[in-house]
Amino acid sequence: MSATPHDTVGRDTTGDAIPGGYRIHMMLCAGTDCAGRGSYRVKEALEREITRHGLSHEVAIGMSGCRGHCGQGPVMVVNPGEIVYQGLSEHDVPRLVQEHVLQGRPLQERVHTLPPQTGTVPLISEIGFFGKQRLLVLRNRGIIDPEVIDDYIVRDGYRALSTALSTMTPEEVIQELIASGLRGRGGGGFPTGIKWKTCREAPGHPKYIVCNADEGDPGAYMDRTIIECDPHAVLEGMAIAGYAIGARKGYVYIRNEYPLARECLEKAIADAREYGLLGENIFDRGFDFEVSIHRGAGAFVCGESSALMASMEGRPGEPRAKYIHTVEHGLWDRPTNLNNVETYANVPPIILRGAQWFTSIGTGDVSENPWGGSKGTKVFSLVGKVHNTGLVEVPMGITLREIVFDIGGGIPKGKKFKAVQTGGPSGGVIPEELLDLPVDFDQLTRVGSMMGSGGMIVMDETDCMVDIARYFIDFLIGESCGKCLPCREGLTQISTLLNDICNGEADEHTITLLEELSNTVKECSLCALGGSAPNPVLSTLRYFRDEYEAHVREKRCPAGVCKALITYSIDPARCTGCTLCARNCPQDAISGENKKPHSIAVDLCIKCGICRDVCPHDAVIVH
Amino acid sequence: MTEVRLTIDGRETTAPHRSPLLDAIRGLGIDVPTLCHMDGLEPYGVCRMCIVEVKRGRRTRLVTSCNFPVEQGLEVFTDTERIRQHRRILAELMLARCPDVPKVRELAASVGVTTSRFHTMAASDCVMCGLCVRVCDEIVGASALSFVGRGNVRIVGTPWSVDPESCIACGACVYVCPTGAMHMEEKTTERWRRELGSDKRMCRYARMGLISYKICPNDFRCAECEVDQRIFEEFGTHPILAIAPGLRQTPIKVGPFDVVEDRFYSRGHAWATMTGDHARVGMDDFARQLVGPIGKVIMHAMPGHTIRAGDAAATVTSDGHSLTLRAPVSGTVTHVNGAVVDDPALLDEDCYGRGWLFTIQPDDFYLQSRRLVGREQVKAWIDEQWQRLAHALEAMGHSELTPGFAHRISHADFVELSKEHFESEATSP
Ligand SMILES: Cc1cc2nc3c(=O)[nH]c(=O)nc-3n(C[C@H](O)[C@H](O)[C@H](O)COP(=O)(O)O)c2cc1C
Ligand code: SF4
Ligand code: FES
Repeated sequence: MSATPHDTVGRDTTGDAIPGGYRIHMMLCAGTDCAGRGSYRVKEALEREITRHGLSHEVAIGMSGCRGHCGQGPVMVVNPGEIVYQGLSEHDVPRLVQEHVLQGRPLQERVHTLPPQTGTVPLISEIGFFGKQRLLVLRNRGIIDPEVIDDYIVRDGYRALSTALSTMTPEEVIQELIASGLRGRGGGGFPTGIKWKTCREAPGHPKYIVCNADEGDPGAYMDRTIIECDPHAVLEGMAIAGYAIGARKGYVYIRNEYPLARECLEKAIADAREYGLLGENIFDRGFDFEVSIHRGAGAFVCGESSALMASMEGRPGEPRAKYIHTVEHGLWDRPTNLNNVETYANVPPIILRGAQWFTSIGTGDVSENPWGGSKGTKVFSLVGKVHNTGLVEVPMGITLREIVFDIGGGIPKGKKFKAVQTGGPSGGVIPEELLDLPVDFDQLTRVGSMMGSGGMIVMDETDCMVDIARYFIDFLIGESCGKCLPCREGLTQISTLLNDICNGEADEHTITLLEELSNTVKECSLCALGGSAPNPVLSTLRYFRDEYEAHVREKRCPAGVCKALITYSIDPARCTGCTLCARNCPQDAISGENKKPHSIAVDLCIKCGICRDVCPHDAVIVH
Repeated sequence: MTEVRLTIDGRETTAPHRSPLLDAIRGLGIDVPTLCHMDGLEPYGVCRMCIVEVKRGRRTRLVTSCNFPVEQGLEVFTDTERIRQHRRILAELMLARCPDVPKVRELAASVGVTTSRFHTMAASDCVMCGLCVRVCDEIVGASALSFVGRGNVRIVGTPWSVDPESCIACGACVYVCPTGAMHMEEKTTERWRRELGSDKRMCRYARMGLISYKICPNDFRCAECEVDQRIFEEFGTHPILAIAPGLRQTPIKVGPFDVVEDRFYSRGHAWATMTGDHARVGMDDFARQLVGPIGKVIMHAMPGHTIRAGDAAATVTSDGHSLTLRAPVSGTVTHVNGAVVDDPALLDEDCYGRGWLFTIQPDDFYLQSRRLVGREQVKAWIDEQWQRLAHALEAMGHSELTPGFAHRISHADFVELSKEHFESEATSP
């Protein structure tokens, strides 16, 4: 195996052979999802089976961090050959060993299949899901054992820190970061180098480094994955930040619901300390740096910088006015540099390979203006109505179309694509006509959405956009801290107006009022939670106003979702009278004779949709 | 403090750098509607009615004027169509929450709103301005009220929703509540009447630490109290508010330490402030945190004694560690705070307020104060003290510099630290 296949996968790394002289190397995914689907059981079964055949010295079995292909787990990659297995169970193991290990041919029925069956066994690089990705932050995903610091070190781990400490001044490190154009991955997209510079120059001592691993977006798990796959990359990035800024103390503020990631990080910190990569006089350069873990308070809003710091100080996790910046007056009023997990993980490769290499990936020109483009890659969690759901890392500037159709494999069940929502619960939806939009910070903002932390939810024609907006607003209502009026009262009122629209109790004025209110909440809220919360409403109004209008003018829900506005009926031309629907209807609302078209009694129907699901002939129609 | 120039609605003016923009606007006689703002309390910035547009360079932003710090060259607009539109929506939201509250109706009317287009939610009297919570915390110092819950179910309540021990039934919350949502419950005062014997029935001023000791002769019926009447007549406001603001300033943070700027500090970390013809003296937060949780206060100063600046005035101890505080000024001691001797925890809770130590009638305070650290230098001084402390702690092998560190260090180290920060005072003035 040479380095080439890796490069085509986009993994930014030097090539690697199978370690330890084994003939075959099997790496099972130990990510939260795959583990939940039994990857450890598969591993044990494999070990037993391999031992039974007396092949323990030939076949190495290891666990890796999450591969991002979470919808299809447990996933296993086998080398040589980069064969990807999916959906494994321990029952597959005897056959798998028989076929793959003894006969030398992949076990066909568990090999990852491309959506249109090609009949050949694809390599990682040929699978769209992996092929269009560019793994920079996730460079070690699935390759190293996150619990083994030596694995990280072998793959250039802590070399960036040593380079920075021994050959660069703190100012040079900051200059390199500014030149790289790296922008914060926590949502705001603030240029990281500039933030570091401000913090370095802020008066006050001591200074603190904080890593934001709060990750409160529902469905988002990129930060957790990064920590679980490659914790040292985050620690190394933080240490470099400490050196550049002049801080000796770092904290990781980690979500309480992430025990696995926390343990992983705890082990990494202990190991790094033992190796002298954290602690005092690192690399004998007179630089001290310690990292401690701080468990999050659990609310979404605690991810916001001023709320996060309040919560770390033991005060209620509520935001405060940001006219005074936390870079200058942060934790305990000291200059504090807060960055996201992914931001820190980007730092070591930038220091090692240089700003110029980093700027070769991505959009725009950052040589004059650090806001001039978006460089590097971004990790997204791709979910919703796509074939391949999971974590993906793509170069900035890739189009939404490539993400949804090439990586995501398109929309299941032959349905039509409708929109993609980016940026987490308070992001905006982007319609089909903008599918060729290059994904970067400024383009997403321009079209009324945002990068956010990298959530990406795909919707198809059966999703009602008013209902979707209501769904996100209802989530945000529960997360608002309730401190400021527009967010606390406004979101509740927005939800009420959306309810009225979905229930057919609204008119044109409702839409106007909804728009006015959304603008006020967006512009007048105290923190960015309220400031972005109306995005789902404003963006759906912008691109799918006709759907809103259909709800209020014609009292019709075009997607057939809003129960108050739809009726179920049976198309007599299609109905074969198989009686399946009548037997399944919980209301006994369907009647008809065997082999003759059936009909639904509208007054009895509760619009549960079971008949539509069970009908083998698609004869149930929704208006 | 440096003055900066700015224009407000086209008119040029000056204001102290980083002072609240609202003050500069009102200074010009321009009215901006506010609800959650009250002079004397820290700005809170939650009702958002006070929004204005500020332009710096080419960028125009919408900000809340009550907490936006003034900067050189700002261009401020207080009454644009954009602002009026937002204020109307905010007023409608308020009306939908509190449809029957006169103050809210009045505020809404002032921005041209008489009815709300929104659904009335479970009608409430509370607009969540937070004045009661803040007055109790910042001025009274009791922190008996807090917000409970979050989002649209957030309410004002008491911590853990129990009858708060710290409530002194002063009624300041009721007084500041703009909507009349806050009521005094007879329950608390009833309990005191029942539980406290007539010898212990401390007057609310004594409970606040405003006076050293006074037994309430009125059975906690403050409305019948002649002291209250007099203060009210004198200042035209709730007695607590009339007396407290001068005494109880909101501390700012210098590192982990609270500092009240409007005080004078001795280099030995005693504070002094003139109140009438007496100076009130206490121990600052730096000293407090160095000693750790305070177990005992021994007062050396006694009423009637004359003491000299630098004389031992009080000793505080905390399991094993003790620290002697020296008088910041010379004069005659008039009162000592009996409450803090009885309950040294007061020092930990509120060293600038209820935890004061004694009052003194100073020989020329003005002359003496020039030797002390004043408002201009206090931040830099505490900062420098902290850095020295940080380095000293580091040298002793304590890398963790978080609040509450002091009680974790050894006795020998503590002695060395207290020498560094306190003993010099013994020999100086
Ligand atoms: C409501 C809210 C929630 C947030 N949650 C997170 C989060 O979970 N993780 C995160 O890194 N940033 C979060 N942020 C953004 C942070 O405030 C901050 O901008 C970010 O951590 C800075 O890091 P960066 O510069 O590396 O992006 C949140 C912001 C808001 C307003
Ligand atoms: S915008 Fe929402 S979350 Fe932010 S301070 Fe206001 S109420 Fe709290
Ligand atoms: S007065 Fe400024 S936000 Fe309420």
